Amino acid sequence: MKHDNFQHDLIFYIDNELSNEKKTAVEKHLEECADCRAFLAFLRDGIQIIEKEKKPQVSHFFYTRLSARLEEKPSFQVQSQWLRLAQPALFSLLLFIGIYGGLKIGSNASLPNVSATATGGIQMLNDFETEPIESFLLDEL
Amino acid sequence: MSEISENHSDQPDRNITDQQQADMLHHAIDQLPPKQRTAFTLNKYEELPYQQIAEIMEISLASVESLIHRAKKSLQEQLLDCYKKKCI
Repeated sequence: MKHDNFQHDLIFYIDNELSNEKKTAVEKHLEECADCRAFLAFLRDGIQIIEKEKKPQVSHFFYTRLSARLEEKPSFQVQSQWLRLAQPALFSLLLFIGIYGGLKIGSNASLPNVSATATGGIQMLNDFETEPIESFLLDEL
Repeated sequence: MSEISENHSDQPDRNITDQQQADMLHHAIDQLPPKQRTAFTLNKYEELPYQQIAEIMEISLASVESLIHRAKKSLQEQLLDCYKKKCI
């Protein structure tokens, strides 16, 4: 078997697809041929790229973090479920208080006693008109 | 056998990075005819058995064996050519 023929069989030698007879012949040739050994290493390195690409490297802490996240998830779900119920109730309550407060303020604004108090104040101020400051000062003298 | 495979001292001073090797291999795979590329990729990357590849590609088992055999031979030719020309 010629040197070139051995080189053409090396990919099948790597994949262990050669017959026992051929495999022995290739191994015997490899022991004698440095060039074929170098090419075998080159070919093996190239083929190993496929294996590396099949198994992408992940962070050493990936599984620890993943399991921690999975453990956290149920409590988060319970919390979010509670929030989902509480939020509409809270908003409804605030809306009700707002409407009720608005109605209360509106009904108080229409009462007449507020204007009466204000008029009283005005009348008291108008007392100065009935007794001018000049006459008040003259009385002091 | 293990002695042969471990013996890297015979290699010329090649300091090939993984990226260069990956580029070389991807280029070689891209050069394959479509059917050979599909069969080879399904077998090597997806690790599918020949029977399943035959079902997916709707061809006979013998055809799958032939396609993968030719794909490997063609890949080896390209890598040998690259090795001889010291392309990386």
